[in-house]
Amino acid sequence: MSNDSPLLLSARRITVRYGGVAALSEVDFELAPGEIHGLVGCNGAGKSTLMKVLAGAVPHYEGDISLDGTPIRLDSPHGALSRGIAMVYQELSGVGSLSVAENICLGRQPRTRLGTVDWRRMAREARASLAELNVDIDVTKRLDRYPLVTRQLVEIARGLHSGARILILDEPTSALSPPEAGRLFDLMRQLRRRGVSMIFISHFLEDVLAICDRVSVFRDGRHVATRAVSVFDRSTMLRQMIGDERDASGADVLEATLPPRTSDPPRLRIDGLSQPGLFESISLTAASGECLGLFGFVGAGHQDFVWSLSGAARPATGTVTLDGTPVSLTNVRDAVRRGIVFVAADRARTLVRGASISRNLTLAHLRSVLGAWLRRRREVAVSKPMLETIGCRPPNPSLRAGSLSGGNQQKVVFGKWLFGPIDVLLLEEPTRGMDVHAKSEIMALIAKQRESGAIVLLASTEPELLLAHATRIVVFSRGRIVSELQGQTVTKSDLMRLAEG
Amino acid sequence: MKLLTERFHAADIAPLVTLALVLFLFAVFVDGFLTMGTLSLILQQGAVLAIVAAGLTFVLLTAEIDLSVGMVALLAACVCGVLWEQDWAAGAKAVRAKEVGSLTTIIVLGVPFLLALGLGLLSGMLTVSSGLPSFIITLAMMNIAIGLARFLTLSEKFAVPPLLATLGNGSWPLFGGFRLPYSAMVAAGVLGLSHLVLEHTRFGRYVFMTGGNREAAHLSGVRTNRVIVGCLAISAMTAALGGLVNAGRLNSVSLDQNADLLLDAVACVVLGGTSLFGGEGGIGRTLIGVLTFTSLKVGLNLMNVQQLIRQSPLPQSWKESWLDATWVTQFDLLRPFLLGVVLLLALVIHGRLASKRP
Repeated sequence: MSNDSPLLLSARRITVRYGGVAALSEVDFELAPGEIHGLVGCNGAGKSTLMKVLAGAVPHYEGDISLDGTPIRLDSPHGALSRGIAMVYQELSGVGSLSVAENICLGRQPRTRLGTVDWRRMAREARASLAELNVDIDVTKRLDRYPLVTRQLVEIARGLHSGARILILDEPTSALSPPEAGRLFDLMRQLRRRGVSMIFISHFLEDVLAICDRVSVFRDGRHVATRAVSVFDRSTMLRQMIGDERDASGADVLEATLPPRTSDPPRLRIDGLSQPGLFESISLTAASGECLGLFGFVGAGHQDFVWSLSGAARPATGTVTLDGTPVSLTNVRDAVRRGIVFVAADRARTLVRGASISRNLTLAHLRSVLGAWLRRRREVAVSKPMLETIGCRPPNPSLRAGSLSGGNQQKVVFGKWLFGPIDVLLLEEPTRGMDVHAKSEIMALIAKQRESGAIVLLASTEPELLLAHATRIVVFSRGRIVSELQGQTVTKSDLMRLAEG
Repeated sequence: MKLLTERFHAADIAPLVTLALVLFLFAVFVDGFLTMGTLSLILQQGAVLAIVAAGLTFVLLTAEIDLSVGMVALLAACVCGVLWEQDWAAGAKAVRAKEVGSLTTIIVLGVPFLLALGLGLLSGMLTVSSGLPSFIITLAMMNIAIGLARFLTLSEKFAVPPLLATLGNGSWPLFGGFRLPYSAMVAAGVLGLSHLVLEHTRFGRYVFMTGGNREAAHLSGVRTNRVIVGCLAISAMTAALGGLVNAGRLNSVSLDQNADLLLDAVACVVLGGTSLFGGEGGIGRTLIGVLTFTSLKVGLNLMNVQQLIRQSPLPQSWKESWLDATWVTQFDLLRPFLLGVVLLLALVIHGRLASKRP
């Protein structure tokens, strides 16, 4: 990239705040015409936030953006799209129940003179825009009949059909097999020749190095560096993503020495557990008092794996035994009886926000806690000591659960299991979106369970969390276990490297 | 006062305020509203509605709906009437009504309940197994029920067992002119039992939590599917009881009964402040809703517009022209319109208050 080539897009001093916390601070970003620009960084580095700003999804940003030298303000997705910026989201946003053609022409369907939809022209246009991408599929079939990679291509075709000159691709390869990813890269190169600029966000540094012209590294909401890939290599990139260990904040653990395998006999055995499209032939064993960290990027399958063990997901194939007895994977109630309990990341799915704190606390073990005849006074009486135990603030059992802060809500979700036995504690990002203090309180509660003999399965995309709390780390990539770490010193960059597969 | 506003949000007391306002306005503007006779009338007219609304409250609390209550009520009454005229019971046109044994009466009254229970369980199981909204399933069930009722009765009119007639019309003279209708006592029993189940049993708690957040309840080990099936079964049973009491009140069974029952019952439950989105509400609120609704209906029926206009302090010329107007002479036809307007107002105000809840 020569310095005098005209800039297509330039963003200056972009800052985004969510309720006082800066997700992005004073970030500069530039995109040249016909360039594939890689964007890398750990979770929470701010890369997705920046992309949302460019896609018009964060109207409250501060800073200046100009397109072809003209200052613009991006305050709606529609506005961004009409200026030629289209985003292909990680979780695909196409409408599965509509046909491919309808998806491509969504929002600008060709009309006949009578004002009705011109189906023939729509199909022709859709076929033409897919043909440009060398995709030949039946455009009249429903979108959800096609595999993920095709849906992604359709999504790109939709962006191009709307006349986009800038395509933002958020983690497009995380769910693709290597040949599928190769196909996507071919397409991207072809688009580059046509002068389309692309921003490519990925956790897979190999992919970034393979396809991009330049790479920008983000860390903690700041822009760290932008360089051409020819002068960049993986280890430098990783170091810049993670930051110099010296200037890293003291709270984050970047390296840990895992203890050697315990001699205790395993209690939990998982054998060849598979769920098509999510994870495949996962086999693990765990003994009492172990905290098994499951690491992987978003979509690596480790989170779906713990959902599956909880009995709340679609039934998986394979066997799971606890203390030699098989565990049903289709029934939450049976799992709870066996002491297999689950805390999911999203409190909107685990907390009855409109109900009181005490009702949430007693929900799982209603009979053993309150007996056959429920009384409010007794409920308050048993809830109060539990709120003390879990450190919920304010410790008022009659408040609505939804009025608590995120960390305290999670304590309530966790506290409901403390009324019964806990043999296996399944956790999916238990501290997502919490401040440092709430995080350490939650993790202390979990550590207490582990010390009293529970098996903890901790699935997370945050290496720091696992390095600080796991006794053994299993790394997932693209639905499979790629390595199991124990009895050795592990660093954050080891985990990131392994998770790339 | 601060303590009060902390514990009770405006949305919680709004239904009570509405009830008080309705009673106050009728007491001022309708002669003869504030009498023991009116109270008995409200209790008797509200009884059927209260029985059906109690069961419907369970369903609405789980964020589902049961559209079949009106026609299940009708079907139960029809089955009862048809059985009663069989030769082994009272025979054609209930000729032997006095000789029928109590066991036969129990069968005649029990079979409709079992049938309703079966239909309710069926709606519930189809709802949870198909993944379709209960709205659709119970809509179909409504048609099945009315079809069966038509087929069974061949559109004839049937007599009912004397026990039902007593239950529907009889009352217990308490004091002065006040008579406590037996049907109101049945309704009180149903409401009381429902309240205890909802507030003090595990099933009741699961109803609230399933309605509040179905996934969270499921992830806590609650068998949410069973809760929903249970609620639809309860609603079908109370509908059957309501249908039987109503048939007793009218002293006969015919296909034109219970046409408005479904919508009236839904209006009562929602008027009381139980959320259509589940998790929020209770039997106490349903009682308030039923009382408000029935008072409105009874009050509007007692309202004499001509007299109101004559008594009003308006110029004589206005009064005369108004008294001749169609909306005064044909006021009977306007009563449902007014009922609708008042309901709409109350529901919109309640809804806006509820949406401001923290």
